[in-house]
Amino acid sequence: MNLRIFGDPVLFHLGPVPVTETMVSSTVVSLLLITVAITLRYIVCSHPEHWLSVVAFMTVESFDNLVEEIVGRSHTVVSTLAGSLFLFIAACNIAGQFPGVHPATGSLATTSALAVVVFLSVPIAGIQTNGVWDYLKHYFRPNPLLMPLHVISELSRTLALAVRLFGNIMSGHLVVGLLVALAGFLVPIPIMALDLLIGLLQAYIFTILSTVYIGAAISAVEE
Amino acid sequence: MSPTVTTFLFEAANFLVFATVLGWLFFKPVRQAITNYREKFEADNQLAAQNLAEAEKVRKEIDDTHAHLQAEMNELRASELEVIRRQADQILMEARAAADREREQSHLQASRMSDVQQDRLGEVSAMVTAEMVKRLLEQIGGPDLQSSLIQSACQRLASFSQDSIAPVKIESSLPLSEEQVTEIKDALGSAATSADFRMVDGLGVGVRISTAKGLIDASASGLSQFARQSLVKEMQRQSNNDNPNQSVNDV
Repeated sequence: MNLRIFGDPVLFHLGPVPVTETMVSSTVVSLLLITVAITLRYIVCSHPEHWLSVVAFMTVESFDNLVEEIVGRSHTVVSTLAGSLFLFIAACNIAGQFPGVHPATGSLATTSALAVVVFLSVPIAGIQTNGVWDYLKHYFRPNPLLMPLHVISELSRTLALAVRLFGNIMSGHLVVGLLVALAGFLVPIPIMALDLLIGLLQAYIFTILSTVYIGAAISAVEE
Repeated sequence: MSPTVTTFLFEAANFLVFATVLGWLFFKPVRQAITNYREKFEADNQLAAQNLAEAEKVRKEIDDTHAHLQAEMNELRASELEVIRRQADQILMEARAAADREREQSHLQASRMSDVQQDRLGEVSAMVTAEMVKRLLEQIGGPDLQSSLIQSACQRLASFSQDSIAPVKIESSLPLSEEQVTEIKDALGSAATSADFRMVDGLGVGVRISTAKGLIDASASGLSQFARQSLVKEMQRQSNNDNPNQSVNDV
């Protein structure tokens, strides 16, 4: 078994663009999720009383309620972003449990990309809600001297988001791989279950933190 | 291009596309469905509230109607009860009247029966009396009684006018002596010429003289018949003098 921490094997090239294993994995997961979403949409529109419709209702409602609790008001864009983050990360982590599948969240490039998306979403949401100047003003509060600390804080939490997710998923995957290599197929099952739980938990943490950051930017002027 | 940078950029773009597609294909229609569901739920709630209000209104109307009907029914029941009571009284009165009539008829019938019994008793008593008088006269019968009866008949004949009593028929069961015939002819006067003397059975002592003016029965049979008639008359007179409204028990 080929264990790796950093680095992503290139499967093939599309012209000058190298296609890595992570790209393929995340693409497959995305397509699967979109397929499931389309199916659920069809069921919701055609059979609202079906239990899968109820599952879809509960999923969307839970994300809407989560955002409403954190931000303080209903925000469909933030809710959609939070839901997408959770579903994508959770699906990637679950996909990592299948043999031979490299979880996309086990790559620092993927977690960094997601963290950067969140990092960029924060000022966009803040500016969209409060305006450019009102949003930028909160960097100078309570004292203009603290502005660098605000910037560092935002950068560090972005880095923390990326590294936390990457570290947890990569370590779990690595432990399971080591156990499989050393003890066989059945021994790592408890660790795999723990890894699955950790993966879902990390997806939830990533989503919650992202929502909190975006919610803080939205309500920055009010504070 | 570095695979890491390529992966980073691809993942960022992939997630943005994924989030956009998911938002467009999943979150938006599901939210719309939830909104529609809530609106339908609210509409159903309002409709249910309206239906409930209408049902309450209908129930109240039904209760009012029920109470009204109950009152009407009670009134009808009372009136019907009154009519029935009146009918019962009427029937009772008719029954009492019928019973009274029956009782009066029974009294009348009993009285009639009593009268009939009394008449029969009187008749029987009279018959017995007449028979006893006849037997008594026959037992004490003799020439003196024969003469006395003939003498009595002659005295009776003397009270009639002599010219209008013919024809005369003299009947006797015992043979008449010459003196007795003569005495009768003397009493007949001019009608003696057409007098017809006959012997008949059943008269006992005495004679029976039939005239155009009437019958003079001075025989034992006639006396007993007279006694019988007198007794019957007396009993009828006594009966007529009694209280006609006497009770059956008294009768």
